[in-house]
Amino acid sequence: MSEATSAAPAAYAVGAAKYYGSGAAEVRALDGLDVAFAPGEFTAIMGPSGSGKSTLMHCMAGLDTLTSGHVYIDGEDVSAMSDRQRTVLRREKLGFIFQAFNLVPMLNARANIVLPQRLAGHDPDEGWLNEVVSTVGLADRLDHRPSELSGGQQQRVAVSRALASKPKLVFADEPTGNLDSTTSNEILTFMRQAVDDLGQTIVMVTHDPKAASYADRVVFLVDGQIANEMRDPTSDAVLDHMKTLGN
Amino acid sequence: MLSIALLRVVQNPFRYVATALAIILGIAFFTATSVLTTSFEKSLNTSIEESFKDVDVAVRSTNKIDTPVFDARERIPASLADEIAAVEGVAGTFPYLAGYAQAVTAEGKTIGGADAGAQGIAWIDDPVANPFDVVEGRAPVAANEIVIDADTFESGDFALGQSVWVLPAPASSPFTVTGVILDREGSFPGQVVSFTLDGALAVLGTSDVDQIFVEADDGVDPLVLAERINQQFGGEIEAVTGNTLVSEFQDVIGSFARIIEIALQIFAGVALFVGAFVIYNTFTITVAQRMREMALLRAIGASRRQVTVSVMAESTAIGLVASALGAAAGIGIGWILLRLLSGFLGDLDMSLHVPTGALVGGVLLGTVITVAAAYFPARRGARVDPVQALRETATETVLASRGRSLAGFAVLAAGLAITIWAALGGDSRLLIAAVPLVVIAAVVLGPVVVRPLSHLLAAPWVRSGSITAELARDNASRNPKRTATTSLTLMIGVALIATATMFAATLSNLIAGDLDEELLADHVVEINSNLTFVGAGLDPETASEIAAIDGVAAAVAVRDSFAEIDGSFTPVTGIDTAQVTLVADIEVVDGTVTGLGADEVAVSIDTAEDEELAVGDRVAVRFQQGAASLVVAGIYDRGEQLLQSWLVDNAVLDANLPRSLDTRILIRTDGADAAMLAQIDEALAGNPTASAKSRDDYIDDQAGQLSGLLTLLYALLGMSVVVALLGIVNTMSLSIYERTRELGLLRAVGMTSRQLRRAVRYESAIIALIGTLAGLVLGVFLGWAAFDALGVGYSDFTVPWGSLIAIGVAGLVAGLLSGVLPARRAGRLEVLDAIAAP
Ligand SMILES: Nc1ncnc2c1ncn2[C@@H]1O[C@H](COP(=O)(O)OP(=O)(O)OP(=O)(O)O)[C@@H](O)[C@H]1O
Ligand SMILES: [Mg+2]
Repeated sequence: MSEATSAAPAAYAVGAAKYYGSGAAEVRALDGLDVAFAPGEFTAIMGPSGSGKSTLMHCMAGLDTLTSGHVYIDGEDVSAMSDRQRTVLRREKLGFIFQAFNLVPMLNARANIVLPQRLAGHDPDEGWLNEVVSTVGLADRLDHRPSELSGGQQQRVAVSRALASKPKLVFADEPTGNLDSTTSNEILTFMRQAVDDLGQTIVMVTHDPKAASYADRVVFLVDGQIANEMRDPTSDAVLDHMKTLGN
Repeated sequence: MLSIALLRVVQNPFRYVATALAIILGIAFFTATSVLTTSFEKSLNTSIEESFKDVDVAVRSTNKIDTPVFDARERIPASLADEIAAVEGVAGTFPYLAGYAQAVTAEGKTIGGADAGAQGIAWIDDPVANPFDVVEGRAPVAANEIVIDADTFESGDFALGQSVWVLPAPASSPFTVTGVILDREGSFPGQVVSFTLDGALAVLGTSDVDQIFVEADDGVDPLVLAERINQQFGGEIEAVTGNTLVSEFQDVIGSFARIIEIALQIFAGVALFVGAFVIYNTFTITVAQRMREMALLRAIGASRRQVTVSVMAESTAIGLVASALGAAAGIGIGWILLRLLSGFLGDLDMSLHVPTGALVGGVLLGTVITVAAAYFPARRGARVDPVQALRETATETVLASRGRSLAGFAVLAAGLAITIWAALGGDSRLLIAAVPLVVIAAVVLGPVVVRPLSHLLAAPWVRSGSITAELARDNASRNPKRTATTSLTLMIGVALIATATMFAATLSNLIAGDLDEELLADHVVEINSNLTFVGAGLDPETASEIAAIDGVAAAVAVRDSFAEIDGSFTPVTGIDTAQVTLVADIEVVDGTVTGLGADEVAVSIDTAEDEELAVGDRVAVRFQQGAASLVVAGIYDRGEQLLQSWLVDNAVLDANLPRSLDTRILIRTDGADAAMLAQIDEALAGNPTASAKSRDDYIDDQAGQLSGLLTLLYALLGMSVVVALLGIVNTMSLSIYERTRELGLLRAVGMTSRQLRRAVRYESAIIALIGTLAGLVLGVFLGWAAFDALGVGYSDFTVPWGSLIAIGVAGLVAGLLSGVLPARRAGRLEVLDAIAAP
């Protein structure tokens, strides 16, 4: 992965700080951290509950704004963007997978997958779409609505949507948090495949060492700061390290 | 449980704003009508009591015609006053005479338009009996002197000592203004000119007076005096006490006030009915959103009854507060309407009276409607299974059931069958049975047709590739029942508006079509005053002058008058029957209409059939000043629009009216040019309110007379439409609240705030369009059915496409506007907060 790290990062944050409240009640969700995500790399973000993982992801993805510091996506300073510009950035360059409620209930699977492109006014790339869909194993479920799909199937649709527009970067916040281990493995394998075969860049928040082991690199957050990081992690190594963090 | 219900209202007051407004508007409308009519009635009653409090006895003729607005009583000889004065116990007599008279300003114009009130009154030389006081100058003493009421004096820019032309007298015999007068009780609205008795008799062209007011000697009971006068004179003269006079007036005012009140309350009722749907919808949605909370309450041991009661308590609280606010607003609106009405009636003095009954009634009505409308959603909420507390309640598409479609279509078929049958058979009573069926079918079928309709309506946008339109469409049809109920509220108002529009268009076209067939004249002279029944008109000389103009083939005078025939008020038209066929294309069915004699009458064929009259029959006709037995000389078919159903020669009116003036002149020329028109105008100089119109203008004016009424109907029905639009705002706001998380997701994956706002506006527009279209279809259908049942043939039925399309466009725009507020709220959602919403 050394050639990947030497290229310009797909996204990076400099002095990223996010404070909530003020005075004694001030919470430093992000405490001036620097982090970079190389293109074509699968990064897992771990850390105790409340350590700022979701906050980091939201600020990186332009869903939220920093109190101070800068976030760059594909070389552009997200911190300087208007709400509209950030929205356009999200649909043009980013993909999202949340823990739950990823899909618009009244749209069928297919419509959900192409939604960001439709919103941008682009015609979906049918060839690519078919490839993504068949890889995820959804080809025969495309006409179903979310309520007619299992939780695992719904997450697959969410992954397909995140990948369908060939984004620069995919953010996933505990994408397997609600799933059983078999389904989790399927989803994670697929994400791994997207990185290996398609050169996709993925940043994933997770609590699960097993999930983290699919990544190329794990970044540990504690109290809004980067505590450590690990390359080519295994479940056991991650688990051991987390014990040292006193989780 | 009760405290939970109240907590819900207190914690979430904004969710109930639209609901409350729906009730507030309806109840305000309802209360305002009562406040208005009660104030109107009470104020007039008081001023009438005051005006007549010094009249002990009034002497008048027993002969009268009840017109829809006033009693047209025969006049009695002025000389009777002296005879009555000689009766024992009479202290004084005061002849009272009133009729149309209007002062002309120095610019040669009258003040106000066609509906300006204007009367000439004989001055009563007794400061107590005379309701007017002289506030400047002095009372008239010579026959060529007048006094003018203060308002007219000011607005007409008159001056004391000025020589003024007063209609209907000719300009050549002017009057001198000697004073300014003011009525003490404010019971004489409009323009008033007062003459000496001799002056009034001359101007009004009579030797008779309306009544003679009698003052009794001290200690003489008016009742006894009236009886004494009755014994002495009797016959066609009657004496009544002042109290009788007052109560007669008050009865007339009372029944007039009731008619207005009931008419207005029908519209308030429609608005409240629509409001009930809005309330029903609100509770259906909020109960659905709270299913989990209710299930939780049930799980921890609340009974079904308690859950129902908690929702009912919530609705009672809202209903009470909103109704009370509505009643309070109603008083304010009533006051404003009262001022407007007072101004419209020529600054009639009216004070605010708030009927407690109507206030209490309004609050009760609003509360009952709210609670009743919330009952069904409350019961549905109570039926929730306790285990649902544990389930994720998805707000998923609720599809209309097959049974609903079948039932709906069956009711619709029944309604349509009855309507068509009624229309073909002409039995309008049956339509009353069909109308509710069609409305029920619309209610039942609403959810069935929402999905196809939203797809159809959004199709043009969606085809242009708009994802926002597609989302809007899918959102509008994801809960068809909700969308249907929301649209339905709009449908009701729109349907009524469409029916009214059709009625007006069809009647206008019928009038225009008939006149076009009947009218042979190419110009028509009319006077711009509604007071023709009380003596406004053109001097008969005018018609002769116009007839003498070079190139004028005929100038035929028409006098629109009235009489009592067969016990009821009937319009009667006088015309110069020697020339009638020159200007009117009358189709004579039997006998003749030409050159009718002073004891002859012609009737339209419809009237002849209704009254079972044939040529040669005699008809008893009571005119304003005298009765006549007329022989039917002819029966005509075409001509009713121009000349009504009873036609006499002007000579008959000359003999039986205090003074008969021309109200229209139908002119037939050999081709009118500018010079001729100038000559006609010159001939009209004798009356500043008269003007000549071309045939086309005249027909347009006649056909357009309904437009004022239509505007009024629009305004009254507009209230229901406003309530329905509030309902749309309400549904959209509640839906957005419900979909917060989903909206957050859409924003996260790249929907701009602008796209989101647009989607909300489109959805609101789709809902409004469904309601508008359904309303238009229903309105056209009902209008057509009603017309056909009333005997207007299918071919005469006019569909005003232009107006209907305009209503449709207005519905679209109103829908888009209704979406603006909810859209703004949706657009302002913070993406992360929205995603984190429960
Ligand atoms: N909107 C907010 N207002 C105030 N404090 C907030 C807000 N959002 C997050 N925080 C605080 O910021 C800190 C970081 O929160 P964040 O959601 O990023 O944690 P996390 O690492 O994702 O935790 P978890 O593993 O539980 O999801 C927490 O202490 C949290 O309480
Ligand atoms: Mg988190």
